[in-house]
Amino acid sequence: MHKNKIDRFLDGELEAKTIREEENEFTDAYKKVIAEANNQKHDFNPLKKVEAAQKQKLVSTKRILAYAASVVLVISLFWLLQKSQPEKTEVVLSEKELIEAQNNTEMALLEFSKELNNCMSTFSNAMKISESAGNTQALKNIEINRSNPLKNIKLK
Amino acid sequence: MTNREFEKFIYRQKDNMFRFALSILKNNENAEDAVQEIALRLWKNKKSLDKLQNPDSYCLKTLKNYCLDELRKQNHRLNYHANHQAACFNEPEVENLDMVEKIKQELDNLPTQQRMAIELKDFLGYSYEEISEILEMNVTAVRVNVSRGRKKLNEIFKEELEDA
Repeated sequence: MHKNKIDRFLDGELEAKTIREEENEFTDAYKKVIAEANNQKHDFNPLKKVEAAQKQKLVSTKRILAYAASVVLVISLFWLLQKSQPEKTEVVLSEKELIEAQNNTEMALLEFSKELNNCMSTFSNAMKISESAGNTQALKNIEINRSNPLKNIKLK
Repeated sequence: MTNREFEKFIYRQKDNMFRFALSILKNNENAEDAVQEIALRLWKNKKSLDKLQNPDSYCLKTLKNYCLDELRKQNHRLNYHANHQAACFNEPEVENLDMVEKIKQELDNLPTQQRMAIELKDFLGYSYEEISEILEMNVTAVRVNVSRGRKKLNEIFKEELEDA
């Protein structure tokens, strides 16, 4: 069966524009609707959200950079502080001081051994006469070792 | 695709996207929002746009999916009749309505699939093959939707003419 243009249009085989105005009132009105819709332009920014996202990204990048910079700054300050601190100084004696210290030590040891001998003899005497060792003055001289100012000096 | 090319692409598609979104969402503000949202999604994946054979169709397909999701979220169908009744209440009487206005009004009353098919075919001028890609249905189904939509509009138009 032969279909007319309108039927073919309604069946989706033809476009509305292929039908002449005078042929059908519906297609005429339909074409006007299409033309009207095509003439309407809606003015808005389609990239509004894209721009907002770009700004947000920029702000985030700036924040990350600022954070990274502050971390770097803190680390470098810490490093600088560590570097600038003077190393612990060791006591270094000159040769003259060393000889003097040696002599002092020898003298101190000599004096100590004298005192110790003295002490030991007093102690044995005290033992003989049954006197308390605590009362013996010579024993107190043993403190000489503790109060010796040179006892802790290490020699290389 | 560079930023500049992307902007050009979106501005070229802007009107088609807006009208297609409007045909589904039936609200200017929501349609604008949908276009902006799709532009943002495409911008995030703009590198993959280069690989597409037909970015225009892809763009409209993404928009369609987004709009249908939005429609579901808004529970648009439930509110539709209430809105429509209110709209009709404020409209001039049917007898005094221009036939062009009447068709416009009835276009919005078509089922979504038919409305989308008609919008793409008659208003935006896409081919059946392109529409089938956008709507993710076969060409025959697209043709059937276009045909049913047109016939429905024609019937309403005839009734109006007879009443007049």
